[in-house]
Amino acid sequence: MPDEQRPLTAALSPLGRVSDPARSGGRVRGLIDFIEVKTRGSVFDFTMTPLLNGAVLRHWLIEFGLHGGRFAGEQRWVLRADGATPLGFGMSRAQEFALQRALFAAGLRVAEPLFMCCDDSVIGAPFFAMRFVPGETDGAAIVAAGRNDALAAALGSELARLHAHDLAARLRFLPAPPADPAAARRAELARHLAGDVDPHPVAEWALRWLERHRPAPAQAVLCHGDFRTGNYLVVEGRLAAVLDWDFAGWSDPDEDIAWFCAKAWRFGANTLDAGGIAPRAVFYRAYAAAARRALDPERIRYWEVMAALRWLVIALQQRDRFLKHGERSLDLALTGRRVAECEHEILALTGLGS
Amino acid sequence: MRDRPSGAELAALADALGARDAEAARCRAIEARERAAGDDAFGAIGTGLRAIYGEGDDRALLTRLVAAIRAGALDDGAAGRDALATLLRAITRQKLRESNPGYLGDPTPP
Repeated sequence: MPDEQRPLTAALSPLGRVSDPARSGGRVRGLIDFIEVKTRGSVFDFTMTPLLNGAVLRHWLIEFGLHGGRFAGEQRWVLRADGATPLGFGMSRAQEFALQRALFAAGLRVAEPLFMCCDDSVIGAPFFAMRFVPGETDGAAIVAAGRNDALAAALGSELARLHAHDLAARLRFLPAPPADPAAARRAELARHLAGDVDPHPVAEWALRWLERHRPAPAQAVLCHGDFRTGNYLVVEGRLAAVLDWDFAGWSDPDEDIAWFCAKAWRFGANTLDAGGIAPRAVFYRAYAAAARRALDPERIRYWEVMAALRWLVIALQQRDRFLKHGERSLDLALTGRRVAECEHEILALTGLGS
Repeated sequence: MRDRPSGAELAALADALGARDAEAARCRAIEARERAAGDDAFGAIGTGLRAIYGEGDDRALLTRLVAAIRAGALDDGAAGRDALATLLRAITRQKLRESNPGYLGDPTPP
């Protein structure tokens, strides 16, 4: 395949920053054409830089100027595209784009989504463009900045606002809300584990415990699905935007709360249960005040067991991207070795820890 | 009883990629810890499982353990619950000693 016809998503990372569309051939030209059609402007001074990618999706910062059209002037956008190997769950880019538009219109703190491109030929995978929001996303860096009660409170309030919005009419593409979110999530994880080649006794114990301690079903609300430190932007210690909506769906609101407090997402700051940035009471208080409902610690403990099991399943899936699908990534391979951390947490939360 | 990828697989990947960063160091450290612990690192656990479930290799023993848990062997009040819980803790702790000793509070780097 001639170089200029190779998919950009596969080819760009080794290239690093691309600032000369003529030299990089049709790979970037197709993207510029897309932008010009969508904006009805003329692109100049185009640069494209790979961002630190997540484990599932790929991102680039594009910076350029536009002559004419409704976006005339300097632009900084982020492209969010599918990764090489889909995880098997999570929504499509087109669905995520539609969701993010609904959230932005509702006034939630998300990056403004701009354009969706479903044409694989443009950069090699479906992607959408959104406005760049400056800030820190690295979880370890955010936690290293120290305790930040105001940030935790802002996150609690923002999460309550998300859970309170009725966006069902705009999100008909999402799977229908489950009658019993806990039962549905447990069944989903059980299916994944049943398909794994190795026996996992602690995961089996988690499934058993989750079945026997299942709480009364909660009314399903729109949940982020991956609400945690590392998936929001911080500017000068303040919340700028919530990112990565591809796991959003209808669930028990306590699932988001528990995921945020799960040990896996404290980045080593284990005394600060709320995302490694504050005691959980700070986060709970802000959420409860905004949601006008008291939180039940036992229900949240239930969902933390679910969170540990879910992270275990994700670790197995990331492992398989290396072992089965040949993605030569140290990050993916090492994630497979985090299963034991999840097992340790499951035993601790269910009363079998040491 | 170790999780995959094995330490050897991780170190081979780091070598193949020519990686010298923190992740590569972690891969090589896992491989070194597994090598130091040796094949007998889970020996006592295997002995404990064989005493309950009879002879078999690690996979067979763990598969029987999974079936027992599914049938209620770890439920409150089940006979032998404490012994099984002790074995599960031991498996998990040994895996963590090799994969991420810092998680257990062991300062061994990285």
